[in-house]
Amino acid sequence: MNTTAPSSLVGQVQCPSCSHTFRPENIRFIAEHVSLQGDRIAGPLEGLRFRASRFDLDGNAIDMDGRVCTRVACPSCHIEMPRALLESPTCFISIVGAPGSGKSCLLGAASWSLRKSAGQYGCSWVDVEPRLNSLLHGYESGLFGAGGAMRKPLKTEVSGGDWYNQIKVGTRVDIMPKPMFFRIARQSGASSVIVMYDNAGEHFLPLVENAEPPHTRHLGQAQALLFVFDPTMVHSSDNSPRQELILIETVARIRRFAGVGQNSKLGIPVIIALTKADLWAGKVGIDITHPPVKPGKFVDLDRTKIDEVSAAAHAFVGRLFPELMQSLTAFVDNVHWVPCSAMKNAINSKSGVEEIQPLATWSEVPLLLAFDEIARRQGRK
Amino acid sequence: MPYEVVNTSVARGLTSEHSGFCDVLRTRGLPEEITPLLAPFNFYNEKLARGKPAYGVRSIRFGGRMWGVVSRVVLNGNDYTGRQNRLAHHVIAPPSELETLCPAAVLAGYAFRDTCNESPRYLDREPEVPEIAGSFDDVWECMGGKGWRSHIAALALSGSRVVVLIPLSAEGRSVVISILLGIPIQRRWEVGVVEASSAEQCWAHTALIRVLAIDANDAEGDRAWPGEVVVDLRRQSIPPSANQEVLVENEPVKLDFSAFATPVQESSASKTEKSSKPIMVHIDFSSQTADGTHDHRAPSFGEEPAQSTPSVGASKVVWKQTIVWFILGAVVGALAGFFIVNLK
Repeated sequence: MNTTAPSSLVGQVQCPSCSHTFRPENIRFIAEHVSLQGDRIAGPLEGLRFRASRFDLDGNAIDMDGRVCTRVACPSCHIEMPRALLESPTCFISIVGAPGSGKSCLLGAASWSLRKSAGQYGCSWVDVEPRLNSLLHGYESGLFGAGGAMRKPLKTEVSGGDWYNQIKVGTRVDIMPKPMFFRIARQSGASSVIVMYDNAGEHFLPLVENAEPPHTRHLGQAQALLFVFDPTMVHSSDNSPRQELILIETVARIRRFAGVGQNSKLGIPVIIALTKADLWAGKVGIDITHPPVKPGKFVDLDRTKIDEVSAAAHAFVGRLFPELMQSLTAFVDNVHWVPCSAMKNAINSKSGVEEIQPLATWSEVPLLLAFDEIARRQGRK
Repeated sequence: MPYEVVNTSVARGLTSEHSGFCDVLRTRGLPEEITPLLAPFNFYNEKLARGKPAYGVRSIRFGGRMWGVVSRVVLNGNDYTGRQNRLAHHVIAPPSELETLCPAAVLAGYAFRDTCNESPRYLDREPEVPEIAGSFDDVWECMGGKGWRSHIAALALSGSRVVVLIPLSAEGRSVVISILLGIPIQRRWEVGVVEASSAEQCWAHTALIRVLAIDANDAEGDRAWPGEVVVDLRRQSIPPSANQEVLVENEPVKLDFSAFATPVQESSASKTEKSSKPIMVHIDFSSQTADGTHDHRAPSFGEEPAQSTPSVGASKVVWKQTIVWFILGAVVGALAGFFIVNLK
């Protein structure tokens, strides 16, 4: 019996792994029958990818051995993607930053905060396919899991491990970052799938990208750029990487991958997430103790409050890091500055020792702001 | 000349703008473009390696030719950002060295680094690999004897992918070295052996044999891909099945263990005692060729009397068949009696 409501398909689907664009009818289904395990591109541990010609009443494909198949994959790279991408508009958000700037911590904290309190911003935030977000679940559990010491996320590997999918095309092995998928739905009813990537910071360093590993190709399809900037990094160590060079390199790659003209500025919004705000925000007079929520008919982000904080943070960064400010002014028009932190330095009341405790402050705001900006640009808000 | 590369997370690597995971030591003359090809071998699988060093012998294709890579990856405390670090040390054999540099000797004798506290630099001296000394066959004693080595080598040489599950008490490095020594020297790089690597990690790279030290009750080792042959040596009491099929040179060969069958009249106590000892399955590649390599084209099977014990598998089958025939006879007899009585 058909129990699902009819769904409308989007006109074009963009693969979140390889950026290949295709029409929904060209999607590949993933065979479920155990005898059909093994795919020439996705590998021997994956089910066969096939173009379906038989369907059940719910629109699921039927594989060669008669099993109903619900999972789908890209026709080009054969990497699995959630079926929601065929039905909902997609927002690609690339997260960029230097090694050790706190990208993984920010992602874990943002996701955890939104799970708990998306309602206060007038939206819902859920995994599209929990299985495909297992890496992020690990970050969340490590940082905010109950009953144990806090575990910071492991350092993101440059290649291999849980962070990447690998495919084999002929004799060539391609390694691609695993995207993370969330559905964000507003009270007004509009919903989107947010696709994010957690690259290693090393991938954004100049000199690294070459023709071999397509680790950062997603920059070409990004609709918003979330640049994670750690203001404490520059002065803490002489050996820290120059973060403004990473921004310049990122902009250069976006130009190359997206075909943006060399003389034009980037058209996408850039959110600068100023991490570790618990260490510096109070000292420069920035108050981020309360979430930026604007009550009304539909609860929403308080853009006035965010703009105030952004202006103060902009002034702070402009004073201390003029090189970053110059680079941004040269390349981007639409910039927002959001201080945030995933953890907090606090004195342990029992031992009296200063320690790091999990306490996310405004960590969800950069993501929500990026989504808000994308929705405005697309006329959906 | 062989090369070496050490990769770990540091604030400043060999290249001026490079921090995080990057090369910190590299032999001068090694093409820089080879680094991305080594990147997948740097990963340390903590779940499978359990804090111990993880070893690997693989080959890569670079510049249209095959290069050999011997890797050792260890945990390396915390890096400059305070996060857990690992150190990967690779010894790389260029195409010209593949036939002279033995990967087993590198694993056995080369002084791999556990840490790297010196500043990043290029190395001017080539890595010195001593001759292999001693035998590594003792490692098989707790896993049923060194006959398994030939068995595993034969499977890999026939093109099968093999996952070897060994008990946690066995030393993975010695198992890898011993397996390599069982493979003809000219094919050691090509076959490849990795330790503490998941199937997802290595399906796309050349390594036909995967060695996993894993608890007997751990299901992690069950993740094998179709066609991968699982040689489980964790439970020593389990003998090979009576008619095991092995592919040698793509030709199926039946291994018949019925000759080891236990006499039926043995008491249950002695059966238990006997079955707890390992079964030896020795694929005898005894016809050594003049150049010291093993001839794997004509396998024959035998046993080592000192270590082998009879199998109870065949006798069980006979008993089961007898019981089944007895029950069938009884049922047929009862039915015949029923019909005769009712027809009358």
